[in-house]
Amino acid sequence: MSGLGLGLGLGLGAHRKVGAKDPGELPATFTIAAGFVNTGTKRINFSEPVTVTITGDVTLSISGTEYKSGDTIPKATGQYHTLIIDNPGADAGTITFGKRKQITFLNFASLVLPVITADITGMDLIHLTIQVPGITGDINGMDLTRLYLNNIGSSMTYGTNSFNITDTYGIHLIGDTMFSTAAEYVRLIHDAANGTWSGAYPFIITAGTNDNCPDWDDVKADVAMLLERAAWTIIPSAWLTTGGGSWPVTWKEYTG
Amino acid sequence: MYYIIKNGNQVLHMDMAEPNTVGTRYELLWFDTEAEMLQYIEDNNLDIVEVENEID
Repeated sequence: MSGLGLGLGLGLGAHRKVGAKDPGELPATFTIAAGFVNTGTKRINFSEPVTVTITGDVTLSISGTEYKSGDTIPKATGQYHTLIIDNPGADAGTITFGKRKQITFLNFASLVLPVITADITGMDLIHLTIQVPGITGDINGMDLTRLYLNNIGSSMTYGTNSFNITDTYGIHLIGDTMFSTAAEYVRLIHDAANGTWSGAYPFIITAGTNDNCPDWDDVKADVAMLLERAAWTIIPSAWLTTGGGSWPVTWKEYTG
Repeated sequence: MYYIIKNGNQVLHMDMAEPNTVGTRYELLWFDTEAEMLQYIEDNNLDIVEVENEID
């Protein structure tokens, strides 16, 4: 009997599938370049208090309090914590703010070099502002009040999200920010058109090419809805028929 | 070209863009030059209520 049991157990074990780990369970780790001196905008908030882990010579302060590895950072009572970060060391170091799913607010801006790197995949964000070229990941499964991506190239991908736009910046994909595929823009336009917009806020995409132009027939119904909801909508000229794309120059008059 | 998005006497947004790339549920006005745009705002006593000048 024991021999039979052993054989059965091994057989089941050999066929067990190990799925990909939920990215929200992964550590929310930010890598700080050697010699980084605090600069730029770095704001964050959490769904609950998080345990911070720091490696290397990185230092972290919030509102005049220095946090050491193992300390607990409370959830901000306002919208966010403002982070003061330095790394006087000769090597890169890291700060980990608990798990990615605990991050609800991320505003890292005004940094032109990839001196801070991180992967946002799995974060449960309601606010996403990135103007830092080293931050990458998949924008997916979020409930966003603001999406602002500035000059980050194609470092992020777009899945499916819900929008409840309450922020004056609305949705901005500006500078050289670009998703690689037309399918991502189809989903973005659909999500934005089906979201809620609580004020006169914009939907702006400034960069785009013929290669990632969402086909007009795939998006026209959502565009008609978006024009009613976003206060103004801006699309790349490369998406127009006059620029080689599929959108008619009268796209803004389409009502379905 | 330069453009203004206008709601009554309020300028909600002004910027540069290529023609046919802007759609809005408000009034949209195009100008060849920035000077013409600013002159129009002055001549019509428009209030600029735009707030998005830098990230906050």
